[in-house]
Amino acid sequence: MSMLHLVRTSAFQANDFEQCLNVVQPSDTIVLLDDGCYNLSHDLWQQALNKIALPSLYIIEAHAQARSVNIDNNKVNLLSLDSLMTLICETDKSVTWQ
Amino acid sequence: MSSPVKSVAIMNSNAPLSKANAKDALDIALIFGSYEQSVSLYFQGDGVYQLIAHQQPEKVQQKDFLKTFAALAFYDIENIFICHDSLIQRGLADNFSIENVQVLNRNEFAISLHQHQTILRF
Repeated sequence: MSMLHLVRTSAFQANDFEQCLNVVQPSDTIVLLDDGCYNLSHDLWQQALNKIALPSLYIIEAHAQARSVNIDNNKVNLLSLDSLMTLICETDKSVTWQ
Repeated sequence: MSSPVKSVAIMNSNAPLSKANAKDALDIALIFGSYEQSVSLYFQGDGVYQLIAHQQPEKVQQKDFLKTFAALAFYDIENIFICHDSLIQRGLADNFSIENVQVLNRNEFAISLHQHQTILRF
């Protein structure tokens, strides 16, 4: 059973993302939103890439742009807020890390 | 070491968009500035994200209060310090939205902060 992980805080400031990675399974999906976007440049993101295939790793485009976060297409996929709604509706389980 | 005039340091430790801390700190800095009180700004931890160039708060339906940092010079707030270690940790370059920012290493940052009598942390 796959799970959707919504990461909303910076791993430089809080350990929510670290806790998320402790429970994440290969079939899960991770979405970085709000201050969670900063995690893209954190060392922990490599762990996410090791645990989950790239197609299931997302960042909310508007949230990243708002924060001037550089997007590397080899590290993450862009997601719009509309697509996030679809993703949430399609997934039976989700956890918000904040 | 202490300066003869009582001075205030504002320590910014939070990223700008998810919480109101950054805006509150900036408002207070400008209030001190408008009463010609000596005030210095310090940026540490996730606070360093506040000064990064090319942010677009309007993308998340927020007013671009970060523009207000440019007004600090008009309020004679010229002591703006940013922690180099915090920048490095986050993979950030010295590319700030305002000029006149001094990047200090951890030790210099600490020594500079200790010269103030009052420290407000946001």
